Amino acid sequence: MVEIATIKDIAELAEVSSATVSRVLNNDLSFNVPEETKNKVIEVAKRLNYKKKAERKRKTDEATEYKLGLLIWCSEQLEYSDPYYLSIRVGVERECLRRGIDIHRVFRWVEGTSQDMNLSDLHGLISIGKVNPSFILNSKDTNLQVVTVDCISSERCDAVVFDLEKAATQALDYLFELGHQRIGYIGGTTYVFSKDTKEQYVDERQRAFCRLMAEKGLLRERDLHIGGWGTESGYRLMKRAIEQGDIPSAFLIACDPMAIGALRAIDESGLQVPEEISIVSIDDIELSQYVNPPLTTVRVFSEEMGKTAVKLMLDRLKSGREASLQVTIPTELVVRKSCRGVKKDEQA
Amino acid sequence: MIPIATLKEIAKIAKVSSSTVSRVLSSDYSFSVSEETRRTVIEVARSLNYRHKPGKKKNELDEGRKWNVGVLFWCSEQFELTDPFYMSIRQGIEKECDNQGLTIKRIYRWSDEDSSTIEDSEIDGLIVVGKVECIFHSKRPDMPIVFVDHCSSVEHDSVQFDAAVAARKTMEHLLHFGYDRIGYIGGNSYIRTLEGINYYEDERQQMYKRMLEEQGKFKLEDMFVGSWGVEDGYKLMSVAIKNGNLPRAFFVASDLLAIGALRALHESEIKVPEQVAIASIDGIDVSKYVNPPLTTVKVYTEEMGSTGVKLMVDRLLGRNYALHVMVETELMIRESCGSLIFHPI
Repeated sequence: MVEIATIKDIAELAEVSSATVSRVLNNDLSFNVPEETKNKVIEVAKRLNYKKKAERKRKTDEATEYKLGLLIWCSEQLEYSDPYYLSIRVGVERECLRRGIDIHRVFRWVEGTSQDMNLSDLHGLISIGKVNPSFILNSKDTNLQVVTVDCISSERCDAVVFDLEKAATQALDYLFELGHQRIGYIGGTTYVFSKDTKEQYVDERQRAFCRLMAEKGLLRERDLHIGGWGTESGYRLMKRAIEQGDIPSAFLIACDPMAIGALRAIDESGLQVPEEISIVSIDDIELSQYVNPPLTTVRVFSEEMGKTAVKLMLDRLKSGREASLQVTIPTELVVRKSCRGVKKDEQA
Repeated sequence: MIPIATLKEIAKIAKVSSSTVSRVLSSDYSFSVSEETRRTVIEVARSLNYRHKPGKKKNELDEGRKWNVGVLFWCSEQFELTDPFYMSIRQGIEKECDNQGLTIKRIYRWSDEDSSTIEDSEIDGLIVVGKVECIFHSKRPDMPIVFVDHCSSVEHDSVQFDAAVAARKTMEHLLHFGYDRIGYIGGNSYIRTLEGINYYEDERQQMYKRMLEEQGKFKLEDMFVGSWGVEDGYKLMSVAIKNGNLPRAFFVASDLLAIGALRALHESEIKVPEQVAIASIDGIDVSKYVNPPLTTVKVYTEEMGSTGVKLMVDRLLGRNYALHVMVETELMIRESCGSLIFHPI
């Protein structure tokens, strides 16, 4: 890891005392330093990108003086298997990079253990994922500004979300337009993590699906398949749906990774997408255009969510804004090749 | 002077290839890079003060640009002076324009006599305040428009407060005291369009009905709806008093209505909150000075105005997707609800 070097670091590498380093860098001629030593010190300092404290301070008079922390609610492995969260993080990092802001610390939420996060030297914390930040806001670090991404919790902090219900509605409306009436749902169970607990709640996509189907009198409990999130789970749940028989003509799948797993299960069973089963999902991760067939999905501007979180944080810190803001990021349906229209008589 | 680093220099220190650096910094995920490598590249880039090459989009470093904005108000100036809610939004807009170096070039007002014609050639963007639908026959369809106190369409930025949530907070608070009958005083809500006025059921009213219906306690005769001014609050409460059998508490949709209602109650010598409790929404300044001080849900109206301006600036700096913002609300518990004499159940 590269850090801003201190005099101590240089001293260690150059094998001299800190006092010597300080004298050399301050060009103190009252003290006699052999030429060779001087050159060595300067070379090491350059290599470690040492900045004089004054220079450092000047630079930090701008936004770069803010120290931010990042809290991510899932492990690295999960992040890789669900590019949605990775993409949000990229959005945060890129915006910070663009503005020259330091992400001082990255925390990962580990379930089952009470996280003792050292937040004392941070100005702000951006929390990505379903972690309820109340325990942070209620703690002694009361000057810490928190922005949550992808989690609506208490109102006392800024939040960036996308309208999950709307995304599900966009997807489902598309299926209705195509003429589908027998539609299944594949999704996961959602939890919100608190300091020592986790709370389950019905995912908004599932809620929207049930509501819209019920309104049309089309809801069938047997066509709801809920499990874990992730490709593996999508695969298993679709397999189960197929084995159940009397399969719907279309599925709304809560996220792309699950849809990709589901596609595999359908392929193994000899059925074809979209000829026999239409699939629409939500996310639009990069992979979704490369699978076979390319996935019709609702794009969530996840990188923009991360970017907006940084902008909100800076606004809070710079302007001292008191009222919290909740920002909703748009979603848009991306039609590819995994759905087809059906006529009424085709519906079982 | 710290030189601007190149991809090559970053690559050297991070000990990776230049193409890896390029991929990491442009977030190319078709190429897999280990977590550790990615972090290292980003940190080296940051510590070497790496800057993206300036692209075609304007960025914050582009300081010389000064923008002109127009502001369209849903109501006349005289009306605005009687309504602290909208006045406060305007103050927020003006202050923030000042902070950001934006010039308010023109103020337009929607009037019933003629539909506003907006000369969009002289402004870079338009901020609309109030519930106004505007479909512009504009020569510049991509001129940014930000709506404050309204969400017009998916494509335009909007800043609002969640009236339904504010109403729920007020009702929950009144229900906490165990008041068995809660009445409603509110106004008719509408959106102004080019074709005329579209009425819709106010979210506060909807929430009131829903919450009482859930408990099987809703009574149509306890609802009094008119217009939104202080006078209307007075008139509507007078009607309620005359009808007799007053509810134990009232949820009043706005502070102005509540202030009028308080006056009517005082005139009839009905004690607040001992005989009738009141809670409302808005949190205008004067709400703490009336007698008794009004329990109300504060709406951060000045913040709504300034956020509208910030969204506009963000758009002008190149953001090409819409953002929809909700500003928080906060229950201010004062005396009119009975908090000093009753304990929540």
